[in-house]
Amino acid sequence: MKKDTQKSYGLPGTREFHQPPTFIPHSFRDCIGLGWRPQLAIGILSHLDQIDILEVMADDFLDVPAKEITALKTLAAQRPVILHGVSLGMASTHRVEARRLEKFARLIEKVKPETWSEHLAFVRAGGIEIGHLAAPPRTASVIDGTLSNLETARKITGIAPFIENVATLIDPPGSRMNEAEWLNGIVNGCENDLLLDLHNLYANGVNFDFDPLGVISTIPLERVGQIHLAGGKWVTARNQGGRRLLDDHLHDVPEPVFTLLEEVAFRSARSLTVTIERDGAFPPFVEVLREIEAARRAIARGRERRREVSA
Amino acid sequence: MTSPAFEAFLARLYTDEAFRDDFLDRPEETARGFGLDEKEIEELERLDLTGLELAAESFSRKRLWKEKHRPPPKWKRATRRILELLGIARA
Repeated sequence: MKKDTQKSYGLPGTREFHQPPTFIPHSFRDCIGLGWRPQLAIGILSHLDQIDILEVMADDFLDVPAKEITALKTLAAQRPVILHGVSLGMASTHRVEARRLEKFARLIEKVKPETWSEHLAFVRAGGIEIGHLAAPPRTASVIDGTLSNLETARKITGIAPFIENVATLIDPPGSRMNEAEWLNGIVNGCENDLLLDLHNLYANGVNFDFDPLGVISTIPLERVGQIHLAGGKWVTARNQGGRRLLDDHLHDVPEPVFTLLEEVAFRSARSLTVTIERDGAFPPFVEVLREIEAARRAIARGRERRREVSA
Repeated sequence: MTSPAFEAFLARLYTDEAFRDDFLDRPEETARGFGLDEKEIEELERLDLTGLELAAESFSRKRLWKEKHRPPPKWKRATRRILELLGIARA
């Protein structure tokens, strides 16, 4: 496995929009891929020429028979694979469990992915499994705990995972920081790079009234190596009133998220690996391919603007 | 500020409907009974109630989905494999 993802992007890219702008080193490649889901398998395997990278849910492969690991290794031999975790609970004052990380380490050793990633979330506390990614209180003590957990993860797996910002329906209780301060506090204290989920950022911006571009302009974009794109829907609180945008991965990527992607591509000099996430309500695969192309165009627009400015 | 106990409190608040109702009825008493300190209790006065309702619903749906899609335990898979090898179950 390669630790420096910027050196690991020697992927096929024959289309014109894959060509790097002139100011970028020759080895530079932006990659666009998909989250691997069994329901999309036929479409993915039939169109591998249009998919640069696949992101696989690591938790689905932690306790599976050997034949499923073999299948995953076969997939990884065809396209670069990133393992993506959802269950470690890195962003917490509670210590991440070593036995969970050891399982990840064993999977990483077997599959040899490009890299792996986890969320800046807590998923359990006090013996209670929340069931999904909860945004932690954004405080100095949670940052300390998170940095300690990230270091433990690096030691056990041998790789510093990319860390992903999460969407939240609730303004994280007990927080002392806004989203930008929180992300900067984490990134500045560790060597882990960011997996910037643009729909999570967009949804949080819509829900809690801040401009996602303001966050993008304050985080160190040289530390952003991966991007997630997804869609969501509005949900209404029947008892308390009010509505929020839910990041459900069941809908198309909305246009403002492509605009954010263009903006990151414009502002960043680093190659980006972009993954489109779809967890259900799967459309015909031709529509998935259209989203991949839309992401390529957004990046191309951003890179073109960057080239014009630097010319 | 924020202790492991505060995270444990949030985990309970997000997942336990009866506890959540207790908190909405008697926030200070419920939080104090959980062992939170005065500053943490003060933080909860500003709790985003719309977000709490929606987040709790969302977490509940996720837990139900996971329960439904949980893979069978290893012993069950091993038993199934043996039955397949013996020709008793279909592969």
